[in-house]
Amino acid sequence: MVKKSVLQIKVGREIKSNWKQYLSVVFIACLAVTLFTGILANYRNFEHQLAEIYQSSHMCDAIIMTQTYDEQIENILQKESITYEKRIYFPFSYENHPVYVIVHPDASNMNLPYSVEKQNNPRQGVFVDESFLTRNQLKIGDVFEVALPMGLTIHLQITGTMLHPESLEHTSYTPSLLYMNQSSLVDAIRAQYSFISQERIETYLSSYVNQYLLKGSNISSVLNNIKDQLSDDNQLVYALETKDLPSNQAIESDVTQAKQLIYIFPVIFYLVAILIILTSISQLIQREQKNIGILKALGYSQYQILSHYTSIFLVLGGMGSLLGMIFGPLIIPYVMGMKYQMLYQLPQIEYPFFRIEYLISVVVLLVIIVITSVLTCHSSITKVPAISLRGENAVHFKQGLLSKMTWIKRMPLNMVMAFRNMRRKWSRTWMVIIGVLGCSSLLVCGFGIEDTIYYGLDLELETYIPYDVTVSYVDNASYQSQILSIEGVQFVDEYAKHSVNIEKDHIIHSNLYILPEESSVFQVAYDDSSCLISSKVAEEIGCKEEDIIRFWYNNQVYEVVVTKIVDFCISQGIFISHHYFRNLPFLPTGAWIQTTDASYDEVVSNQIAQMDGVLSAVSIATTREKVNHTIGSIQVMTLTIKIFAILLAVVVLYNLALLNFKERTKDIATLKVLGFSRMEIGSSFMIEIIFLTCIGALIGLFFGQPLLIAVMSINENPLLSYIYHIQPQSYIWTICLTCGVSFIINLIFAILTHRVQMVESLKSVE
Amino acid sequence: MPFIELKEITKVYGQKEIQIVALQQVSFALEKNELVVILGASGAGKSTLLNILGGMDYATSGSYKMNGKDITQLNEKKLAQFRRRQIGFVFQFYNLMPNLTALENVRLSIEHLKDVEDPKHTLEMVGLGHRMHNFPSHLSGGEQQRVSIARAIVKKPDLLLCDEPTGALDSQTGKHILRLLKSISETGKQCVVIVTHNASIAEVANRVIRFSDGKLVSNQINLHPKDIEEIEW
Ligand SMILES: Nc1ncnc2c1ncn2[C@@H]1O[C@H](COP(=O)(O)OP(=O)(O)OP(=O)(O)O)[C@@H](O)[C@H]1O
Ligand SMILES: [Mg+2]
Repeated sequence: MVKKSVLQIKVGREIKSNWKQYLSVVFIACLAVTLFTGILANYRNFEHQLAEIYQSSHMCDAIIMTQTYDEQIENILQKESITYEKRIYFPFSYENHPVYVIVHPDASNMNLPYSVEKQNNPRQGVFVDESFLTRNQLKIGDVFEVALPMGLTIHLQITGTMLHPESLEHTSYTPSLLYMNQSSLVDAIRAQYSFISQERIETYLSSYVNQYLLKGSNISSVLNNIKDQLSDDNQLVYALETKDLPSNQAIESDVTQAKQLIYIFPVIFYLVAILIILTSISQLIQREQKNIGILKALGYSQYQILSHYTSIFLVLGGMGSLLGMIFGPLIIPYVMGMKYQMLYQLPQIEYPFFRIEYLISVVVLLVIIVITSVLTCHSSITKVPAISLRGENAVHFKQGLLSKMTWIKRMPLNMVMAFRNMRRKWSRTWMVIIGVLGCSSLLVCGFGIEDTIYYGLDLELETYIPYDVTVSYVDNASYQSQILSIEGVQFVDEYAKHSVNIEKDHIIHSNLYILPEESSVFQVAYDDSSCLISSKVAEEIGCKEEDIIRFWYNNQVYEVVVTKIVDFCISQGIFISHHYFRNLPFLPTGAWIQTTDASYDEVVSNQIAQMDGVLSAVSIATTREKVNHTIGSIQVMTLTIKIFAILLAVVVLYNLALLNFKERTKDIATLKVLGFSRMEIGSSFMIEIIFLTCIGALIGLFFGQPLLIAVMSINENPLLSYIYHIQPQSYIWTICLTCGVSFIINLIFAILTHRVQMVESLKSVE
Repeated sequence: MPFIELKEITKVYGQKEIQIVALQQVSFALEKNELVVILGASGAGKSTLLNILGGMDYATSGSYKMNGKDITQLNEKKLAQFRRRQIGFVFQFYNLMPNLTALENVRLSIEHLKDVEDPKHTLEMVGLGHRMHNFPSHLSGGEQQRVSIARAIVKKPDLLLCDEPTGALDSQTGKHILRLLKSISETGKQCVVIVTHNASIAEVANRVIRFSDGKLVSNQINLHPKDIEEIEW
């Protein structure tokens, strides 16, 4: 065995005897690496899952959808140099929940289902999503009834469950998807109607083709090409690149969010880690002044001494970051993954426990540690031994400046001591301010995320559209009088919702809500000639109130004045009175209903759901429940943010208090000898911490909102738009929590002053 | 009733196996307006005695009374008040606050106290009028020792305890400080106790107490103390 050098032994002893003080170095290194590797792992895993599903399903590049079969589209497609596939797409309602059916060609090679049961051939059979089975208490092999748009009713046997790239969102919020190949459908029809020949069914089905999947390079110009060539009487609903589909946008924005999180949170922690290491090193060096002098007198080189002190922190930082490298990928993806699990259906795959990127993040931290310690130690170590040997006192105060500040002299002495300490130990002061600032801004952000979501929801569901039951229709006919005749129904507002393109500075795809001329549920005032617009859409197209916007509806371009931008959270798009389209018939697609009393909500929604022509009817309580379910996953995330924030504050405040305490044990003893009471001694230490906590916490409050917006804006999804709002109590909570942490740590150390032994501490100059 | 009365004070350091008896059955009495010198070899227990007199440490057994009040019975809080009001302590190793200036170090000991000396004046008395605004790190060892003395005498303590107050001083400054301490004891309200290795200082004292191995070996009253100018340093 190689014999350890004396200096190596000294590293071990130093850490052993001062482990309490070094705890914060290990801890912050661990926190920083945990967060970084954890968030990175989360992103990589999520990306991995998506890549898995997209690749194995051969996702197409664009989708074209038509109202009914449109021959000219097919003619154009044949001329373009791309591969394409035709399929049939139609909605139906099963047990009061909408289901989209897709019928694909037998030899399909695009958008195949990701079969959960590995033995199944995804091109063959009838696939549904897992939640369709659980909701309807069905299992694989069961037979259920489907009403085809051709007026036929058939029985289908479920072959297996799937995940599908076009419907990754959980179907509790979106319609279910039913996926089958054409011959399965033909067989099912023939089983019921054996007198129809197979050829007849096939030609019949081909006239129902209404979707085209496109694959090829330069897809956006191809799409534009197609749109240009279409005649005016075309049946086009949309022609979109896959990445622009609403369902894909949601998940893509979550991917971007996961990626950007890598940079937002860990930066704060790395910064604080640097500061904590900086302060610990300078404290150590100061304490070791004499020893440095002795080492030099003994003939050690500067390099040897430097590497001796640096190695202490390398060991500590290394321990912490290795722990972080284990905790991070274990904990964070699990916590953040809850959100994805609740929002999306994703394949379960094994993740690597170790990735080379984790090691890089550890190395980066260690390099930072080396640089910080070299920079901090350098000036102390290059001093001549005689000066080092004079000890700690040699480095202290600059004379001139402080004695000129007469205002300082008028303060009570314990304040004077606190302020001088802050000035002298600037790196420590910054560490605490930045740490506490980080803590309070993270807390505000954590609270703000919930505030924002609930605020937007409450605004819409209680103030703007306070419906009790919401209904969507299958066919565009009015059911107003029928619904009104149900007991407990007070008001019915029927509306039509259409997908349209809206343009001002930019053009986007959103919704057009056509409102009844007289509304009783919808509470925002509107007139006959202008429109309301949701704030998210307004921002996206770049319009202000009084601007004129354009939209395409029913093969016509409309220009309309925006009267009001409304903070809608769920309903996105423009809202116009039917009076504006008075030449066209009013064909409602849904209705908002108010009941006379909340106790009727469930009964009414159940009754309406039974009606023919109704796709679904959902009470406000159910909607709320679904939303809470989604938010529940976000709460796990905000809770994590809050816990990390508080840990951050604990680390920096503990570090400050401990450093102060260690450095000033002798001062404490002297004050005790001079007869100061425990309160007085405690307060002279508290002043510094409390003062810095307050400054950090207050500045942090101002950073809270920008941080909230940064976190939430990359989390934008089409389900909800955020009305940024932070409740005053969130600020109060933040201040209370931060100051509470500070107070508790202070209290502990104030109690510790009691333990300082006067006689022992004052005996020597050490 | 004597001003200070010690009865059979014993101080034992350590527990069980390794016990060090620093003081053994020490009894004596002191009056106000006395200048007391305590002599003894290194490790004889002088600092230990001073710590007990100053209320910084508890005796293992025995009683210590000041003005008839039993100090050994005081609790932590009362003891702190006792130190603040009645005791002035000059440490063997100065113990100045590094982040307070000389003047502020002196002011530190009289915060919340009435009937005290002017801190600036006190510093001038110990010959540091010109270095009041310096931090301890910019003062020499002897200067730091004098700040420490100023800090102890500024509050006009009933009992002034000095552990080697002239250890770091040259004969000239040492005598100056000694004269100062002597004059304090002559006001008639204060008692000054000086611990030293320097036997010549004993010649100016009213009372000389000798220690050896934690035991009091002699307690003499010096009826004719020498004048400070006459002693050899
Ligand atoms: N905390 C302690 N634990 C154990 N022994 C102690 C402790 N403090 C002092 N002693 C011992 O008690 C004895 C008396 O110590 P004290 O400090 O009173 O000596 P002193 O007379 O002041 O010596 P010096 O002139 O060197 O200052 C010494 O033998 C010392 O080793
Ligand atoms: Mg001593």
